[in-house]
Amino acid sequence: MPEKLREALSAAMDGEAGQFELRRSFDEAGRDPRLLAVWERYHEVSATWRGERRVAGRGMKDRVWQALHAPPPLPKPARPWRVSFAAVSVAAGLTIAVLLDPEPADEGGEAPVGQLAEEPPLPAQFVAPEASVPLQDGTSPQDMQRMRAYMMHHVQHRALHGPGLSSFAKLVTHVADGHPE
Amino acid sequence: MQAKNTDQELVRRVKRGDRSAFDLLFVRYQHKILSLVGRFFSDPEEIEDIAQEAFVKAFRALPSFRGESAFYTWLYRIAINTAKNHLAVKARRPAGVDVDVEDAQLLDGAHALREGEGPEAALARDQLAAEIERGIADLPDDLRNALALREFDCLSYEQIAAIMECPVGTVRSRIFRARETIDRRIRPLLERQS
Repeated sequence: MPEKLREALSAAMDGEAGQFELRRSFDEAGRDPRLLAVWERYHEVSATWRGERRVAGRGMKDRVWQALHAPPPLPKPARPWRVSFAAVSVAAGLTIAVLLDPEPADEGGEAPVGQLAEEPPLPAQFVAPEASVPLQDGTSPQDMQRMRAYMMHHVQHRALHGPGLSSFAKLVTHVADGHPE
Repeated sequence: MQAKNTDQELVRRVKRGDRSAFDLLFVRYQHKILSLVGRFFSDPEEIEDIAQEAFVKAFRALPSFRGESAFYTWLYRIAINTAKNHLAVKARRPAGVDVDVEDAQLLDGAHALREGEGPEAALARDQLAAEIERGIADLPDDLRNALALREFDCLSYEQIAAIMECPVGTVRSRIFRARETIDRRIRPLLERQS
């Protein structure tokens, strides 16, 4: 540990080192921990002599460094992606099943999602079996057919081009087309 | 005083993420900040915690430090505000304690902390202080005077040179030799204590 470097550190401590030797001594202190220890002891002497050294503060330097470089606190945990995906898949499956199935659910006409995936794609002009009895709110069977056809067209369009829930529908459509993703 | 050069260089390096510069800067002000916080609180653990918090705040805010004021003034202000916040939270601020940055610098080292200190820490501190005093007493006059003018009167090397009627380089050398002589005496003691 060259004496010149220690002398430069002593001068740096007093703010009396030139810019070049300041940089050199700090560079060397980064490489040689003995120089840092010298710097530390010089300050111990100074602090003790001035009556500043009242609390040792051992390990504080490392604790501060760790606090500065600790990873930021984790945000509120989001729902696991598997849970979210499962929920979306179920919702999408149910939506499609309801739209595709003209029969009321209580008649056992619901098709399982897996089965839907194996069925051929539905034509846009899909026509549901004609309802024989007009609905109570006065909607005619023709109106209902048009509505179903519109809804199917919409679902298929969303499945092919839209984001979000449509990813499932898109998958279903592609699998049904014989092009599994 | 040219202490600003040293601080500026260290701050520049710390901003770059230089760990050794962080160590050097921290060591440079550790005792001053502990001493400052010690004027507000008596429990050594509490003093350490608050000083640590002040350092963390300061180093986190370092990227915004533009060097318009001296680094130590900026750091002192953060430490005082941190200590005051703790006092406010605890609502046990002693009457008449209202220290701002300038007061803090004047009062630096004015009061010794004794209350709440563990016996081992007190013994270690007293041993070190005694060894340093012996070391200073044993120094040749020219070395001791140069160091005292620097440490107690905070004079620049140029001012000391004028007082001691010698070149600035001689002052620098005397101060360095004084520190080295004391360092050789205390090194074994500090190593045992740590």
